[in-house]
Amino acid sequence: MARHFDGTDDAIHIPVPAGAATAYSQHGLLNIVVPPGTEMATSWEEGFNNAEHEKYLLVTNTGASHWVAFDGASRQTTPSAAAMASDTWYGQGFTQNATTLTHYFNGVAVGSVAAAGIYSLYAAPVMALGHGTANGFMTCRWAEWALWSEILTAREFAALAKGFSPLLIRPHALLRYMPLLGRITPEREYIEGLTATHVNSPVQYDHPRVIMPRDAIYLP
Amino acid sequence: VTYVKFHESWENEPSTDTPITAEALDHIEEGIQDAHDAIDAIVLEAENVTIADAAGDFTATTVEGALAEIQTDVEALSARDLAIPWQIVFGAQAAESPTASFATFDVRGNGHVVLDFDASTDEYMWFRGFLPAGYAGGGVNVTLIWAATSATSGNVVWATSFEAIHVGGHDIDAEAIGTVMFATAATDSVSGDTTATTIAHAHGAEMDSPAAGSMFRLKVMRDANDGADTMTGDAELLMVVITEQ
Repeated sequence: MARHFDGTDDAIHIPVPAGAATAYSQHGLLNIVVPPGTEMATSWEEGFNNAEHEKYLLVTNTGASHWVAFDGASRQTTPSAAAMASDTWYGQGFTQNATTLTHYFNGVAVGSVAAAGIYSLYAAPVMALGHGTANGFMTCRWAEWALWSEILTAREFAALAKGFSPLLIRPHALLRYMPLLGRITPEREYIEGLTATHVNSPVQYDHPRVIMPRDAIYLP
Repeated sequence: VTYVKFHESWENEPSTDTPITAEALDHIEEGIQDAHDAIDAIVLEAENVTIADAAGDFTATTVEGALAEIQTDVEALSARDLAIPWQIVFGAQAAESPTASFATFDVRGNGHVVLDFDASTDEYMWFRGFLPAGYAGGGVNVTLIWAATSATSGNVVWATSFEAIHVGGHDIDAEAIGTVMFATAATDSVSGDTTATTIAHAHGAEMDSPAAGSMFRLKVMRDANDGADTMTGDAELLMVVITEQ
């Protein structure tokens, strides 16, 4: 079961390591209600609760999405991805190296903008699902969110968008994996067993397809 | 011993043809005794069926040598003795990815999970397994079940190799594989139809000399830059099967 965010005050915050700053990728499966209002489905907060440094996924009224990088002075916006339909799961991710943020939508690179890998003012980012900094809550559902310490390829983003578990994609570089199954509250992170912070009460929602790792079979 | 009646048919008075004599009554009593002895003998047979857990021996004997003794080692009756080769089956999701030059996961057609191997760059994946304790040292066959993403002609060059993980004798920080074995296989004329390509690995260097009951890794690679690899597009690996020779 995924998590449903009500667009009013629901969110889940996941601590992410600052060490991912050199080059990293993140991906999750997003499901929205159209029209969503022009809100933030998720944001990468540096210096949590400080609106000055962040990267957020903005979804417009048409269901189109793009990442915005805000360094405290100016905003850089990636080109818009194709509009999302209601109650449909989409792969949403980005890669970030020292200078560039690239938006991946359903396994396809939509476009890039110049953005610093990390803003030096803050050391410990937080991934906030369901809203932007301190506002911009969005009616949406998230599942299978993960963070890697390497730059994934388009084909890997395509696999993730098709439902392959992050456990199958560069497991050696997997820093955070939050299945968001909705079975326990607060949600637990898979790699280090971290506990997410729930803001109000995101509820369960039907989980999308997930293709899990599988062991060998021995016969007879 | 078959029981024979003293008289076939007893007759009532006034007939004197079947008198009740001591001889007749003894005959009847002996018959009853024989029947009880036979029953006791059956119980004795059951008591003589034993299984020795420590040795795995199954032993069955009968009283008075009526049947020959049967004895066998139950634990030794392995699949090998029955001439059934063991197999290790890996689906695509059992693959482990190297840090670079890896095949990528994909879903084909009606939900088939596959690994895509590129047409121009050598890509590979690992499959981790455990060599059964009953491995007799006769080598294995590695069968790759695959299809083309779109091609309907051309050849794929597959390369397979083993890495035996000897306990206390293999540094897992370094790759150390045995002899790489190759097979050039033509794709099916229908891109969605699968092809089974089998590569034999003799015991020894071709298997990196693993011990029975030990861990190993199988490396499966598409040797895409080999001149004999002429198929365009990805080769999609669905399953890997290791079969004892």
